[in-house]
Amino acid sequence: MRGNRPEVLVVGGGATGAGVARDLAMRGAQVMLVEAGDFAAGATGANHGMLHSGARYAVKDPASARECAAEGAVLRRIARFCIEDTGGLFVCAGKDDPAYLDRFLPACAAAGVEAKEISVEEARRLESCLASDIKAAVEVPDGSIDPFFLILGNVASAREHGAVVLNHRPLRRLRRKDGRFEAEVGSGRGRRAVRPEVVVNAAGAWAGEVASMVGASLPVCVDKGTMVVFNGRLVNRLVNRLRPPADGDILVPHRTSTILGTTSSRGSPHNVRATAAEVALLLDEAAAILPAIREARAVRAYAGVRPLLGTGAEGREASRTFQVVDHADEADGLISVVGGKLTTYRLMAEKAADAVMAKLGRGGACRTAAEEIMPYDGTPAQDLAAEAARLRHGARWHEIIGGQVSALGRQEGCGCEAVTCGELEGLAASPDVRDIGDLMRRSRAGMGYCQAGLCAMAMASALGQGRREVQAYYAERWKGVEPVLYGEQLRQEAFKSNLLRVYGIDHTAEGDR
Amino acid sequence: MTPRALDGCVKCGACLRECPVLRLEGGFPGPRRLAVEGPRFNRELASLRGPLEACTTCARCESSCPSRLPLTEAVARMRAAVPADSEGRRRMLAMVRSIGRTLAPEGCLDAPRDGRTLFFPGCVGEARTLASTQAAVDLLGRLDDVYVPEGWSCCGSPLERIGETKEAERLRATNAPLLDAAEQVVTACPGCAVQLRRAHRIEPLHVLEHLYEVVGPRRLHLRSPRPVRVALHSPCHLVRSIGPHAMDYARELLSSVEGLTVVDLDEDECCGGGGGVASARPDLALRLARRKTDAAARAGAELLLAPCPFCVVNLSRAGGIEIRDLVGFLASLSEDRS
Amino acid sequence: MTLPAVEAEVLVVGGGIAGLTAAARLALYGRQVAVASSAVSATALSTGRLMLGDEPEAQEWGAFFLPQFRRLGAYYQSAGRPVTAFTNLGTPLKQSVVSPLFDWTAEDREVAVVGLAGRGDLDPDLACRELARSRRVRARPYWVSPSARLEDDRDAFLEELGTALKDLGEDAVVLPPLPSKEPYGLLADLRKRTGKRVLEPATPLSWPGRRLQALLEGTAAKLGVRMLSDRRLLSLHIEGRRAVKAILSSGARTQTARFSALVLATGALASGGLAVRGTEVIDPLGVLRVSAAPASGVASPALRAALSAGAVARRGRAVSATGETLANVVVAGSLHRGLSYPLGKGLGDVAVHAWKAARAVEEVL
Repeated sequence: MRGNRPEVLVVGGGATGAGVARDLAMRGAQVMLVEAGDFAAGATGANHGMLHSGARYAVKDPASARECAAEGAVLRRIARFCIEDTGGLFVCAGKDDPAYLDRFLPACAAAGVEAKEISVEEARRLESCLASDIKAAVEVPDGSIDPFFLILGNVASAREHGAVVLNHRPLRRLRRKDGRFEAEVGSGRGRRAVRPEVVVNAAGAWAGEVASMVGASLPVCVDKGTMVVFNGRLVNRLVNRLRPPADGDILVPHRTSTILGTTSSRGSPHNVRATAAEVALLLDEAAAILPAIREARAVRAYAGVRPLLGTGAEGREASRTFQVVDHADEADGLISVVGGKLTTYRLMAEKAADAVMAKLGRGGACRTAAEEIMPYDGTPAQDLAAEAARLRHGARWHEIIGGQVSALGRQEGCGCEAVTCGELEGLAASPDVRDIGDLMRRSRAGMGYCQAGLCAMAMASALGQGRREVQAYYAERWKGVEPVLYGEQLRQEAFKSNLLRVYGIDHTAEGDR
Repeated sequence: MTPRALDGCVKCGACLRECPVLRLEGGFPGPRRLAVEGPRFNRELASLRGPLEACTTCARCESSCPSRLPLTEAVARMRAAVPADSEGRRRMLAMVRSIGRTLAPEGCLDAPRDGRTLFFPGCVGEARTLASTQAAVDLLGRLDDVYVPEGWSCCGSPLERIGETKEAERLRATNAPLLDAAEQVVTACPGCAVQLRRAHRIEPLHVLEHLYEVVGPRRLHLRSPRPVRVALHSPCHLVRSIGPHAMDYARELLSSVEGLTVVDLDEDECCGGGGGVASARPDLALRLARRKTDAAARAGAELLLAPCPFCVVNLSRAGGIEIRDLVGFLASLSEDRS
Repeated sequence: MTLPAVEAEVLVVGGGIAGLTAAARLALYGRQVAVASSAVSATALSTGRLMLGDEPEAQEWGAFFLPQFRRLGAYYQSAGRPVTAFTNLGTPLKQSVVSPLFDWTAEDREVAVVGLAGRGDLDPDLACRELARSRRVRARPYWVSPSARLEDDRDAFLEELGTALKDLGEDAVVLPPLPSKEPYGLLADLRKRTGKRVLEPATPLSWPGRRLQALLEGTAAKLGVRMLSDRRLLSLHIEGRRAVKAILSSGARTQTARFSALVLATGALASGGLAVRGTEVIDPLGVLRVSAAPASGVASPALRAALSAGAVARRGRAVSATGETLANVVVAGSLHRGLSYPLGKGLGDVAVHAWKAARAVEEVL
C-alpha cells in the first residue's frame, strides 16, 4: 500500500468490518480499516455471544436459520479458539403453548438445523436447575462464542495478510474526489487523509450516517437489546425458550458467566443504556424456565443496538438476514453491508468481499471458510491463569505472557478472570491499547463478579496510567452497574465504594458519554 | 456449574491472609481461587487439580470470610469435579473397600460391646494412636457406661474431603444402624465428630465436651505427679466445626491441674494433617507441623498436646518435641478414686 | 447436654474497633464485660489509620488507646491536627493518629518506593506517578526480589532486604506491608540495619488493618475483658422493652448469654451486621429497625442510601423493628445508621461513636 491510498477502506471494526478486511487481505487486496472506538465497540460488543444453531429462526425466518446452521459448522472449524461448543436446549415452560413444538421441529428439519426432541426428565438431568413444570425439550447444536476475541483474531489475521487496521480513528468526513474517495480519519496528531478506490461501509448502526456523507441512502433500523450478566455458569449449555421469539428467551453460558437476553425495542446508536425495568422484565421471563435466576447474582447489564435492514418491519419482525448494497447509482465505489448475525459474519464478509473484488476488477477466491483465523494451541497449561490465557489468545498466548516486563509479572491482575499482571503488560504494549477499556476487552480483566474492584488499578498500572484514568474508566462502567444494584452486587458495590474512597475515587460518578 | 452459595464474595482477601498454606507457599493459589473464582471456569478447571491437593481444609478462610462462604465445602466439591489420581488416594480407597477403614488397625480396642454411650474410635484413633484411644476408653469406662460397637466403619470424612462422595455414602449406610441404636455418641476425633453429625443427623460429642458437660470436671480428679510445661494445639476441626467452647474446656481442665503450666504459643495455625495433605503433599504437611513444634519448643514446653488423632500423627512427624493426644494425657492424670 | 451459659454485666457482640472500644471503656468503668466476636472484622480490612476529630471524646479515645498500643509495641501518637499520609497507591489520606514508623513527614522529600516481588500491595511505578502529582515528595521506583522468604527465614530475609535498601540513594524508603504479627519490630530492625527511615504506606485489605485489630484485642484482653471468639449472634430474646438473653453460635452448637446490658457492634454490610435483601438493607436478626440516613460521599443515590442505612437508635438505645426503644440495647459503630464507612475513611468516627456508646451503657446500668 502506498501511503494513504489503499485500494479499499473499510469503515467499522466490528465483526462485519474485521471479517471483510481479513477476507480482502487474504485475496490480495490492499486494505485499510478504520474503527471509531475500539474494535467490537458497537453491536458486536454488546451481543449475546451465541453461536446460533439457527433453530430460533427456523419458524419465522427460515433463510436466516439456514445461514446460521451452515455457518455454525464453518466457525467451529475456523474459530476454535473462541468457541465453547456447549450444545443447547429449547425448553417449553409451564405457561407456554406446547403446540409450538409441532411447528418447530419440522421447520428446523426444513432449514437444515439439527433438532432432536428429548424427554423432560433427560432435559432436567442435563440441566438440573430447570423449572419443575417444563413441558417439552429439544436438543440443538448451539454454542457460545466470544465476540471480542473473534474480532481481535480477525484483526490480527488481517494484519498478517498485509491489511492496515486502526482503532480509535473516527471517520470525520467522506466524499468523492477525482474518481476516488477522500476520507478524513482520526483526530489531533493522528489525523490523516485516506484516498481509497472502494469504501466498504460496515459501520453497523452508524451505516446510515456514513452513507449519507457521500449522499447515498441506506435505511438502517436500529433495534435495542438489553442483556444481564450473571456470576458463574448457571447452566452448562445454552437454554432457549421454546416459543415464538420474545424477550428474555435465552441463557448463554459464556466463560465464567451466564448472559440472559434479550429485549427488543426501538433504539438509537447514541447513549444506549440498560434500565432496571428491562432487567426486571428479563428476570420475570427467565424465571419461567430457571426459577433460581432471581437468587442468582447479576453483576452487570448492558445494552446494544442491532442494525437491521430498514425494510419497514421493526423489532422482532425484521429479517435477520444481511444485505450487501452496491450504491452504484448514488456513490459508485461505496458498498454497504448491513444486518446479519454474529454467527453469519463470515458469510457477510465473503459476499461483501466478492462485490469489492468485482468492483476492483480483480479475481480471487474466498478462503475464509477453510483457513483457521488463528492457530489454536491445544496443549493444556498447568495453572489457571496460564490456562485461561491460552483459551483467550490461542497460540499467541506464550508471546503475550512471555514478555514479562516487570517484577509484577506473575502477580494477580484480575482474580475473577485469572489474568496476571504479566498478561496485562503484554497486551498493553500494543499500540491499539490506549485505555483501560481497551485492555479490559483484550484480557477480560474487570469483567468478573467484582466488576474491576481491584484490577482497574492493575490495568492502569500496566498502561502507565493512574488514578485519573481509573476514575474515568469507572465512570464509563457505572451505567452497566446501576440497573443491577440489588442483592449480592449491591453489597459488592457498597464494599467497593468504601475501598475506592480510601484512594479518593468515587466509582459511581458517571462521566459524560 | 457454579453453586449459588458462593455468590457472596466481595474480594476482600481476608481468606488469603488467613491461609496457612499460602503463608508458606507463595505459589499456592489460595482459598479464593480454589473455592470461589475457580469453580466458575469451564474448560480451565483441570489446571487446578494439583493446587487443590495442598488445601488442609482448616477452614480459617471460612471463619474469617465476611460473606460466610462455605469455602471448605467448595474445595471438596472441586476435588470431586477434578479428582487427583494419586497413589495415596488409590491406596485409601482400596483399604476402605476391603476393611471399611482408611488404615489397617494397629490392634484391637479393649472395650465392652454394649452400653449406653457409644465411643467411636475412628480410623486414626485405632490405627495410629491406639494407646491414647485405649486410655480414653478406659477413662470413660470408669466414669460412664461406654462401649465400642462391632462392625463400625470409617466415618467417611477423609473421603468427603477429597471428593469421594459415593464411597462416603456407602460407609454412612454401614454405620447408620450402629449409631441409630446409641443413646449418646462420643469420639476423640474432631473429624469424626463433625462427619457423624453431618451424615447421621445425630449430636455426637467430642470427648472434651463429654467429660466437661456430662461427666463433670470434678469427677476427673486430675493430678500431675511432677511440674510440667505443656503447650496446647487447637485442632482446626475442633475449634471451627465442633466449637471454640471445646478448647475453653481443654484450657480449663488443664489449668485446674496443680503443677501443670500451659504456655502460650505465638503460632495458632493448622498442623498440616488435614485435607489429605499428609498423603498428597507430605513435604507441605511436614513444614506446617514443624512451625508448630518449633513454636512449642521455643516457648519452653516439654509436651505438645492436641485433642485430635490426626494432629497428633502429623505433628509427631516433625520431631523436636513429644506429642501426645490431650485426652490420653488427661486420662493419665486422672486418679481412679472408685 | 448444654454449654455453660455466659453471664456478663455487659455483653458486647462484635469484635471490631467499635465493639472493642466500647468493651475497653466499660472495663475501665469497672464493668464485667464479655465480647462475643466472629473472626470477621471490617477493622481488619481497613487501612488501620484513623482521623480523630476535635471533640473531647475523640481526644479521650486517643489518650486511652494510644499508650496501650505503645505498651503492646506499636508507636502511635496523636498529631492533634490532620496530617497527610500516603496510601499504597500514592494518593493522599488524611489522618490524625500517626506513627513515626508509618508516616512520611515534611522532612521526607526524597523517597524510594520499593516493590517486593510477590507483594502486590505496592506497585512502585504506579505509586510514584501519583506521588509526582502531589509535588510534595520526589519519589523513585525500585524493585527488590529477595530469595529468602520472610515467613521461612526472617533473619535471612531482613539481611537481604537491608543490604538492597542500603544501596539506595534516598534517605526514606517505602515498603509494602509485610505479613507479620510484629511489623513494628521488622521496620525498626530495617531502620537500624540501613540507617534509613523505613515506612509503610496506608494500605486497605492488607496487614495494617489486621495489626490494628490485634492491638485492640490485646488492649481489651489486658483490661480483663472476657473474649469469646468464633461466636456469632444467632438470635436475641426480647421481653417487653428489654433484651433478656442472646443465643450465640459456638461451632455446631449454641450457647446462651445473659447480661444486664447489650452492646451491638456487629458492623454494616461488609461484616454482616447488616444484610441486603433485594434493594433493601435489613437487620439479619430481624430485630432492629433499619433506615437510611441523609448522607453524602458518593454520586449514586441508590448506593448512598445503601451505605448510610443502619440501625435506628434513640439516645444510643436501639429501636426495635416494631418501633419500641429497647431499654438495655445500645448500638455502637457502623451498625448505626449514617456510619457505614469502615474501610479507612471514617474509622475514627466509628471508634468515637463506640466510645460515646459506652457512656450510654453506663446510663443503662
